[in-house]
Amino acid sequence: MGEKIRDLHPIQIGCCELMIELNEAYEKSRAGRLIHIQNPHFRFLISEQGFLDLAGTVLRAKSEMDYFKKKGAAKSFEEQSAHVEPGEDTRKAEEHFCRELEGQEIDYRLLERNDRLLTLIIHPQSVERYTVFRDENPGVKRCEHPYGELFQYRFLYQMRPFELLRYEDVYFEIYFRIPCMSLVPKTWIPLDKMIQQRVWESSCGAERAKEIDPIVRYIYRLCWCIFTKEGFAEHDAAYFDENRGLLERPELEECLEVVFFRYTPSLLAILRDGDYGSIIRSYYSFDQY
Amino acid sequence: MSNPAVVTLQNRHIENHAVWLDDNFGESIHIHIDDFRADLTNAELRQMCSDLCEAINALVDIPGFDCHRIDPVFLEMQLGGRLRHLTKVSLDEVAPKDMQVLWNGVEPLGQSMCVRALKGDTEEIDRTRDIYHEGQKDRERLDALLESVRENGYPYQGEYMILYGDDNIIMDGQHRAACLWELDPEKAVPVLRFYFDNYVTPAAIPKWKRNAAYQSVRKCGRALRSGIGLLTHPRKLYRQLKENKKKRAQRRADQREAAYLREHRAEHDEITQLFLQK
Repeated sequence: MGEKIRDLHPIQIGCCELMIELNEAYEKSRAGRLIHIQNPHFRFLISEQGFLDLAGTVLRAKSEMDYFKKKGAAKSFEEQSAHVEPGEDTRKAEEHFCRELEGQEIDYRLLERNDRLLTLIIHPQSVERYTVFRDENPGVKRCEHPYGELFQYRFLYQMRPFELLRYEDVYFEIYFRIPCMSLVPKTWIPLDKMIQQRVWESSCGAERAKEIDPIVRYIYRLCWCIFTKEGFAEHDAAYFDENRGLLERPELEECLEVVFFRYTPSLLAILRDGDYGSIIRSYYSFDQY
Repeated sequence: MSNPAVVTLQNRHIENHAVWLDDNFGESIHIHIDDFRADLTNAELRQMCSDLCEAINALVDIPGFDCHRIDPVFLEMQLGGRLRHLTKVSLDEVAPKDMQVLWNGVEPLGQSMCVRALKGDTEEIDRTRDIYHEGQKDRERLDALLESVRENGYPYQGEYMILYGDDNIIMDGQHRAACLWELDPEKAVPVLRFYFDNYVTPAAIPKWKRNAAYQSVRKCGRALRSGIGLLTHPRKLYRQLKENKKKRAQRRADQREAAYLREHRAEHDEITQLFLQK
């Protein structure tokens, strides 16, 4: 180890105070000088050039962060397509499909209904039976999901990729865990384990299908608007207005916290006010964490 | 694990260390060096950056040099590799009409891509890669800077354009210089001159070394040296092979996607339309 030349400047990493110190290297040459970043219990050693590169990287990272937050604060949303309520054909297809699933003892929950597009989630323990049903049922045709692996979407944390089935001219989107799009481009991650478990804890049996827990649906819709669409369309605003009562339930806040962390109180305030258009800008520019 | 809002701010290899920084929205900023991780709040990161700037100032120890006033992108991409050779910093005044840029060789600022873009010729600037901020087009950056220069003047927050040695070649600040040209090319503006003990002015490079044939030979030489370097550095070789494998996988994935769309375009369009109503 070379001789100490001088202390450069103290640096704080969280609550940990360290000193950046300039030292001679093993050979007495300017090119070989070393930097110690240390305190009495810890030392990180790097060359002088390595330190300049490291410092440059951290400084640039902060600059990227500032730019991202500024860009987020200026985001705007354009509604692409009007939502259509499910028609009679969709209702019939839903009834038949769900009856077939139940007949095969495949546990599922209905997450979302759109015209000619229904979203279901299959229980992990029913996946094998579901696979047999999908492959052997002549009425079921497998299609490529637009957010699937063929279109180069990645599924992290061993998440099984989505599937898309066509049955009686209606599309059934199949999830195996409640997903959320990541800010990393073309990447899906599963929502927190607590939310995944909640899906199977209760079942609101309706006439046609087992409905998902309303809190899980709320979280899913919120994540879809924020991370996938990056905006709230009219029908989304109507849905959130209709379900404002859920905001008073402590379980909703618990679920929001595992997705939004310290942004949760601000988010709840905005949801209560109904100012959905400001959520994206406020979330991306949030820096109180 | 479950935070969907994770943005990678920087990701690079420094000596033998893998270094990357993530912004986990609502949670914390993560600084990773190999298998170590530090979690910081936004405020702690800002403080850390200020401390690093002070440390760099103390390390460089040249009057007139202030890391707080240097563009971090320029510092990380260019200046950081030269700082150990910095010998002097001085303030000077130069009119935009006398400034030059290093693009396709040395050319006057008045003929540069940025000045042409401000006059309406945006063909070249639209083709440039986004290297400043992720997802920010060069033209967008130029327009934002013009607005800022008009509103706040130059220099803003003590950040000067930087020239090396006695050359009038802009090393940092080409976009600002183009904006100043747009406003008044004759008016001299303050700039910082950085002097290095190993700087060779591009003008001193003989013409024959700047021609295409010589540059091609040099390029082949660099590629050969790089290849030999990989053979003698197993870790670099491993990373390069991994990178090559990733690129091949990407090409195959692109081909599969294109093949599917050729055969099932109508069905795919129908499905996409349905998903738009979600």
